[in-house]
Amino acid sequence: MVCREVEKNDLVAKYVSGQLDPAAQDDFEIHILDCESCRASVEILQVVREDLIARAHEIRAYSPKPRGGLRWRWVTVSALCVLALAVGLRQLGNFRSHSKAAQVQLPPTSKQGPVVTVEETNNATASSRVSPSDHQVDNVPVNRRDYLNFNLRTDSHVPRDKGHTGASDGNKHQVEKPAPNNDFAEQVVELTNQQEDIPAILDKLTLPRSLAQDKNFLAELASLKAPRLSTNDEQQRIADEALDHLASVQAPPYAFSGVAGTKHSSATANSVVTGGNTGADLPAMAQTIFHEAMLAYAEKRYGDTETLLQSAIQSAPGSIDINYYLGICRLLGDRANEAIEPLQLVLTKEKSPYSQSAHFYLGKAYLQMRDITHAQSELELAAAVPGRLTAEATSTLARLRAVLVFESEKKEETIQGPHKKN
Amino acid sequence: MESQSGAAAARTDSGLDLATRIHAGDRTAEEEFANTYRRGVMVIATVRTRDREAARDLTQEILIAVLKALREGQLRESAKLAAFVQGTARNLINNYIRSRSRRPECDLDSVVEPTADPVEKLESADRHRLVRRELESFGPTDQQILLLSLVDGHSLVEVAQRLELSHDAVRARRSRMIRKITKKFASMSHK
Repeated sequence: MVCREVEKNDLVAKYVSGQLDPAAQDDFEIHILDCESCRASVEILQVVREDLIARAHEIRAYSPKPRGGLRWRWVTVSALCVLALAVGLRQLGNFRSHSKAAQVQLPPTSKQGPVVTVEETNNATASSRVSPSDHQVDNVPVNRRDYLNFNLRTDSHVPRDKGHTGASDGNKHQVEKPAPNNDFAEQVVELTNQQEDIPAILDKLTLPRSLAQDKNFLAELASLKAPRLSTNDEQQRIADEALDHLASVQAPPYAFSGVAGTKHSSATANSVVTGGNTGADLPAMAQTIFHEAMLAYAEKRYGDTETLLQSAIQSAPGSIDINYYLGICRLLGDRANEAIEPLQLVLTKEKSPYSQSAHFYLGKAYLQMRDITHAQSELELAAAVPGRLTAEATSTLARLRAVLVFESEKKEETIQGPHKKN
Repeated sequence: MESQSGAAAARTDSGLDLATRIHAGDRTAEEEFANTYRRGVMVIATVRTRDREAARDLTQEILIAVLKALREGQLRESAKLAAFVQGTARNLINNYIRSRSRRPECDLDSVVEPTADPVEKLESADRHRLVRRELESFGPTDQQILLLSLVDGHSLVEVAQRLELSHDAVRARRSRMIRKITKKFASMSHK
């Protein structure tokens, strides 16, 4: 079997959907074991299939034969269009009748009923202002989306002019110039990005009473918000989980020879030496305490280890061994901020045997503190040094970059708004 | 396409070489074998079981079974390593499907959720997100064509009848969509 045959006969799609007969399936499977490009196609179609399953209900709702739900949807949309046109024309008429005035009031006089804001329904007040220069015939709303744009306002760009009072019924009306190329859905998403809940979003939209109370419309608004928030939350949770995973720390082994894993791998009490300088510089007291601390460390009693190391460091504040393991213990105790100082001190010594490890665990400490910039630079330094942790540092760095790319794309998408459906 | 055929031929040669080396006790050859066939086996297991978690376990099981057989020199025609792997995979997956149908149901609470690598999960979520975005860019009818053919398993003729479209139109639209998606995302698959 060759790839041309696979493409010609749509074998990838047939295979993923289970439409191949057993013999053809066997042949195709043998082929994908050897052909990377066909295998990648199968993998991606599997993802497509899973997504289709997840949205099957939604996709099936688009039936070519009109069903009840869809018919009502069209009825609602058509009614809204008519309503929007009527309200827009009425507002235009009002505008023309008051064209000489610099600012006008718009009394609701038409038979379609008053245009009210949600705030009005809640007995709240809002100011209104119409600038004649803002309203041209081109701005007359002709469908629901334009209508909503026409009336959309947010606190950030609506002037609150309390000097202009409402119309004959005492209500105040607000008419805002529609933003050019501004999509209703995008504006709602902009509001949802501000963590507004549905009532808060409704407060910021000036709607006809019928629309404000229209269950279909409210459901549509909720559906615009709900999936987006849940997706964002889910993505954020996954990203946080990934960062937590990258920041997690395994206690490095302690080798009693001083440099981890280089000399004697088995611990013997009498062979305790410290750091790369064999501990000769350590005072006897500090050396004894350090030895005890390391015995506790081997038994994973990190709290005891830290206490002993803190005691030992009084006699030898510059010891790289003591500082290194002190930093590690604090990191294991979820006190990354306190781990940084002793680990940095280890790096001040020239030719420190802990150089790579210190950079690596500093990277972890910064990751726990979500200081990504410093974490990256420390991990880069650890990855650049050949040693026990080179591969792990490189891998952690690559994964961290993947998480960052994911997060930046997510932010970008949040700013740009959701992808519109056709 | 020609280069892909060439690559497949080269893979067959390396398959022969791999089987021989594994039989000779070369441990690096075993690692090479696992790296070469893991993804393919995973794909096969996922398509056949429709269960990613089960497919992950089965992939390990299949690779170990093939390795054992290769160590013992059970593969007579080394050139057919891929066919041997596929045959082993098919048998083990069929056994699993048979045993699954006999296995009693249990409460979900008692099932321990396997802990997948969070970064892998993240990458997978990202891939799903991008694929969804691409799918949503297709029209409703196009999405229905994909749903009816890829998920429901209807033939193109049946899809065409259901959507009141011509067979040619359905075939062309589905091919166009699949080509577009695979071209765009195939490079994003795991390396």
